Amino acid sequence: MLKFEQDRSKFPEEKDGKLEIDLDSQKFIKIWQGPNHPGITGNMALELTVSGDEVVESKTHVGYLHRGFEKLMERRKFIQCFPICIRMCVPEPDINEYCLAASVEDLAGIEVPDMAKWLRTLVLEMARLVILLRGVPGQGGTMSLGMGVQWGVYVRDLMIDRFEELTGGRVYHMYIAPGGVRGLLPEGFKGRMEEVLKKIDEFVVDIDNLMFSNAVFKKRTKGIGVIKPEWIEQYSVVGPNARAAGINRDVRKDYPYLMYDKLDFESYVGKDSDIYTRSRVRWHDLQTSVDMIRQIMAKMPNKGDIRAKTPNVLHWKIPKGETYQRLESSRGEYGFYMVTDGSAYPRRINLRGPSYNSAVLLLEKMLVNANISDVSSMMVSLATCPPEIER
Amino acid sequence: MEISLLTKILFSLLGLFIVFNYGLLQAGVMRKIVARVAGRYGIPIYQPYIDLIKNYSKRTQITHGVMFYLGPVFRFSGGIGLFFFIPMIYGSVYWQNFSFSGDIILLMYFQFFGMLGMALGAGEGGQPNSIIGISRGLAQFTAVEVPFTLAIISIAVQYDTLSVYDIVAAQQGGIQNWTLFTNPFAVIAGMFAFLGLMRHAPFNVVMAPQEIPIGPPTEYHSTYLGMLQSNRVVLHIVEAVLFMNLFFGGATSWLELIIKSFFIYFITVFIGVVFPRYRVDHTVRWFLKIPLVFGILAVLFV
Amino acid sequence: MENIIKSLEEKFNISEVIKKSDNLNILTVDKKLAMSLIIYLKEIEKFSHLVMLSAVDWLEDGKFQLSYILNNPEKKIDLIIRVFISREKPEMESIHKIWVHAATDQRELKEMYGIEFPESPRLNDDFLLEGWDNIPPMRRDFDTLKYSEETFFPRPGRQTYETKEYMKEKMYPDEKNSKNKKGLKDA
Repeated sequence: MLKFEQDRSKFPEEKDGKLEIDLDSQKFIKIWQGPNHPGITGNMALELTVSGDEVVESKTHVGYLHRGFEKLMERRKFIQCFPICIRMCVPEPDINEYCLAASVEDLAGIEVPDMAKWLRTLVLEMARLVILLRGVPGQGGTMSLGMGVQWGVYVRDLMIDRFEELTGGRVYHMYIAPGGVRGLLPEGFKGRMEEVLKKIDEFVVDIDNLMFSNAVFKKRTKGIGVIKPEWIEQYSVVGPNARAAGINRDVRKDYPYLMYDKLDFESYVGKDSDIYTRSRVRWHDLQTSVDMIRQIMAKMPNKGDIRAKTPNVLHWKIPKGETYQRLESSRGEYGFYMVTDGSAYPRRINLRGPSYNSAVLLLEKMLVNANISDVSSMMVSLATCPPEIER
Repeated sequence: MEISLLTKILFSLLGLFIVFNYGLLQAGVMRKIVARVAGRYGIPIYQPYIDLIKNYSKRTQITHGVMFYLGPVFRFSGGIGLFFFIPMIYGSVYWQNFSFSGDIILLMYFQFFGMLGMALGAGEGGQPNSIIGISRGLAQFTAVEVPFTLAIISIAVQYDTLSVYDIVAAQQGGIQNWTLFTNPFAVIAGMFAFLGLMRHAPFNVVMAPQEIPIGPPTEYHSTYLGMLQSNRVVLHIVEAVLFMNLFFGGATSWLELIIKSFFIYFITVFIGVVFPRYRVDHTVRWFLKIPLVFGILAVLFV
Repeated sequence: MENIIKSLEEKFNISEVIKKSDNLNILTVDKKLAMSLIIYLKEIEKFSHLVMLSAVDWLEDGKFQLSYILNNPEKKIDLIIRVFISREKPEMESIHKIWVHAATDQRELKEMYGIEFPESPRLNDDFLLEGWDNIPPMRRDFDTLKYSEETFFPRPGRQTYETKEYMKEKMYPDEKNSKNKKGLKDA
């Protein structure tokens, strides 16, 4: 039998764990998968050193979306911080509102009424659907399977119409306010929501047939982009990325907040952590969210207080303290760390999203010895979102 | 009946004009079909005309050297050259173009000619991404040629001739004489090669926008982009006509030519809409597995 | 949870404990013992998830506060470890050998606050701001208004007008501060 020996003379040698790359030796090219690129989620630059078709080293450059929100929020009163913080994570904006409202209520000692908690849960699940309906077929979109993305964007548009009915805005809602929410459900909302959920059920079956049973998709995604088990602790991997590797991390189950302890759901845990399994975990998340929305609308009371009494928001002084509030976004554990000093302005608000670890250092580690064609798929499979890295 | 050289040239140019227009319309119809599958309305059918007029009316300000601009010229001349050597309509002495006996070998050469011209030209731009793109295209093309050549050898041995005209002549007299039914292995191998030549998914790794968006479509601007676009349109029709002549019985009138080439091209779109793309090494390995087996069977069993 | 905190109080000389809820406690520890406390928590008490490393600027006390937020995924409890370091020469030991991803946090803190973490990899590479030549911007003595006025030089069309005065001058140029206008006050 012929034994095929691969010629590795073009690849750099390792010395003390660092690769020796000599750019003058004409064996390597530097390519920027730059900030304006159809294969990047958002605006982030990857500087790749390439030998032939294989990536040898990569560095992530962020900073194209730095808007200085944390410095801005130190000079604004608490109620003025809400329109700012909502823009920190662009595809799924309601999680920022909830985290800020929960921190403020925790430090000021305000108790939120039950009806408001049900409505907050409903809005968070709807936001999760809005980002997943574009994210699940987006994995096929990196390989030019455009059909799934087109169908997903249509169904997402119907869900955004429900948001517009409920809150008045399509993308940025500003529905969750300190003390509760801003309004009740309109007339006939439950019926229209049920129609949209039926369309999502059909979409879920279509995506299964189009993407997950597709031979070319399986060949491109199975066994590629593996997260090794020892990396999970070193790089603090959370959310669907960890669940695909066999470790069950879900903030909704571990630290129940709002009304999640009254809902009945299971998180899906996969086994081999490659790109295919991560897509599969998100696809199951989509079905879990639809199920949860149906349960919420069945169990929710019909009327109640939606907002607790707060002092005059323009002159609200919150006592000195610090807190950390977390929730489960579609990408993992998302949290706010807030420090106040007794005045009407916050002292420090620090946001931590899951992409902070996964897009910068974990991606650099994963891209070594990967093919150029797979760079975009790996990045999208980790669900990186540059706005939350740089705020 | 002999006709003068001048009439032959005039009819060839008229044929080129008809094929060009038909190609633009067909491109518009295919894009509309793909859009309807995706749930959109789609572009108007005459959209490729508008794109062509817009591209040809722009001018360029910078220069990268003469070789850079000769790239699209080579490609377009490869496409037109391919057209001029294929007989279009069987039975009519006016539409034979410049076909002669033994012209299959020349046709296979012309297919590769355009690709090589692009490779020489695109590298002059100084952008490393275009070099990567072109080298991928060449690697893929080399793999595609293997089952294609085997299928042609098998047909040449079956019909005992190397001239396309004679192959078409041998397939007349009813559907059962088509190569599709007399030599199915060669047809299957040939159609696999057709998928690779048309550069649709799953084999469109050359122009992959999610990986290397900067390449020939971005570097070549204005008139040169118009030239690349026109070449793409003509090449699709001409390839479909070539395959129609070899495998599906040729055409005896323009209407039959239009219908048959539309359906042959539609197979590619039909498959390409629902598949993502393969990587380059996957493509090369795929073409050297099943299509190669079919090609070898075709040669053995003829 | 109380047992853990009692044992920590004795071993590491913890100066202050605030209990926020059943699973969140805030500890303040001295700078010299902070590193050993963190290593003890990770290896022995299994707080294996570092949530974030953040900093707060207390300008009036002349101190920076570093907050390490640690989490135990099995028992589901959080701890916030506060370490106070001086503002004149801010420096702290790096924990990138314990958690690899802390290198990114430390890079950001160096850029935004000026806190040094010796031996952290790629510490001096620009993270969010390229070509920054002023003091670290998240400090409380950095004046954003003054910086933008100096950097983006005044051009015609870049002034701000007091609207009432401007419109009064434009529409009634002859009447300046006239006192016989009934009912109109100067702005």
